[in-house]
Amino acid sequence: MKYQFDWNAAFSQAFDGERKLLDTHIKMARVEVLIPVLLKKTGRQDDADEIASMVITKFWERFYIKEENLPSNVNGYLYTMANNAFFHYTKKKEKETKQYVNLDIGDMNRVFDSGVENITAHMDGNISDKERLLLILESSFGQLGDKCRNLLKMFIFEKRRMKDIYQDLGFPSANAATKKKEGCINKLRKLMYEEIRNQNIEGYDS
Amino acid sequence: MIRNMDDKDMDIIRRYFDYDLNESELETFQHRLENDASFSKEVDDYETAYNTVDEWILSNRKDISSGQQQRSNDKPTTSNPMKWMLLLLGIIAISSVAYFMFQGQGNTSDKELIFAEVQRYTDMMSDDLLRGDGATHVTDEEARLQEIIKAYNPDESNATLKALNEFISNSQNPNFKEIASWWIINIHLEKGKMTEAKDILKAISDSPEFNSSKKAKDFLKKLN
Repeated sequence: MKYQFDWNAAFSQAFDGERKLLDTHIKMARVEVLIPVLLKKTGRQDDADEIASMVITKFWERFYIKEENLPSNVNGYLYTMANNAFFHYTKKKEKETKQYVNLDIGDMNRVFDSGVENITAHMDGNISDKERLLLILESSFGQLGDKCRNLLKMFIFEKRRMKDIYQDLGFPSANAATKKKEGCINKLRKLMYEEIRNQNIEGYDS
Repeated sequence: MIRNMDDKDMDIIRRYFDYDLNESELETFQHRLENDASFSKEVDDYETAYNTVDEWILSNRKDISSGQQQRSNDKPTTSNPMKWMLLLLGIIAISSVAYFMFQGQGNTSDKELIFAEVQRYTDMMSDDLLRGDGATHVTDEEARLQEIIKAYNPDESNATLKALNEFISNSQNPNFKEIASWWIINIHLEKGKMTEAKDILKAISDSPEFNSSKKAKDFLKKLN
């Protein structure tokens, strides 16, 4: 009675608005793929449950919300993700005492109330690390090329599916557009990282 | 001037936060984290960039995850920075939502997870006992139980239930009776017949001759 996985069909249906099969796949992947592996690694049900949730959250974010291309062997890839999550989990326990700056919505709005034209003034003034992060995000986005900015605007602000926008953007396939999107997001992270290094900003707890 | 990492390092660190490293890369990564303070600092800084960008994307696209996709001909949102940071209104929420969505606690999917666990447990018992650890000799009872299980078709589950009940009545082997009972539990759960499934779980948990009596008690507790 092993569950028969068909991840491509599950995602394809989900992207067309029918989530049931994908939800079932995720639940079954948790039980049949992740928990057995993680129980062997941790020896504890509560640890295995927590790490499995980390994997599924990341999997969901990457392949459903951010629409990254699916790996060819999804269940095998979940095993890789479980190994990584186990490592993160042990690191997280070590870092629990570390102090982070917490992003606060009120503070964010206060910064942006004054508008993007005042970025330089903000940078020169006495502003907090979290405010700087938001400004850096804005300015890093502005440094991307036109193609990246257009793609990300359609994907992020207009909330459109890659299968619906690739032709508008002049890509031969949704896969090609998705690869480009990953490149753009990585470029944005890189620009942010470089600025964070230069400004020596502390991280925040996500 | 602070030295920025090269593209190869950045790619490895990005993949670390994507949970994408293979075992050997993970081992090397761990070694560097523990022994190279400069690399460790780079990882921390990259994490800040990674989290900020990701939360920006996730919080903007969170409606997608609830099926409320914007129509393709809707006007795009402008790049006004105020709106940009509305992006971060849901910032911390998005990861938490996804996390709790699949944490398997306190929602209706709990039961589906338990059903799946019961199913896996039944499979495991069937594998261990029906194959007889590789023995070549198969008894008539074993052969009959294999036949019933292999013929199982969810659309004709009543026939399987009848065959399994007959098998239990006639069998002298507690191990085979046990397996047959777990299959009956599975079929009841698949059909949504919770009371019947619980009755059999209760019967197994009260039967000391069954090796799975403790497991049955655990499942019963979870289902209650």
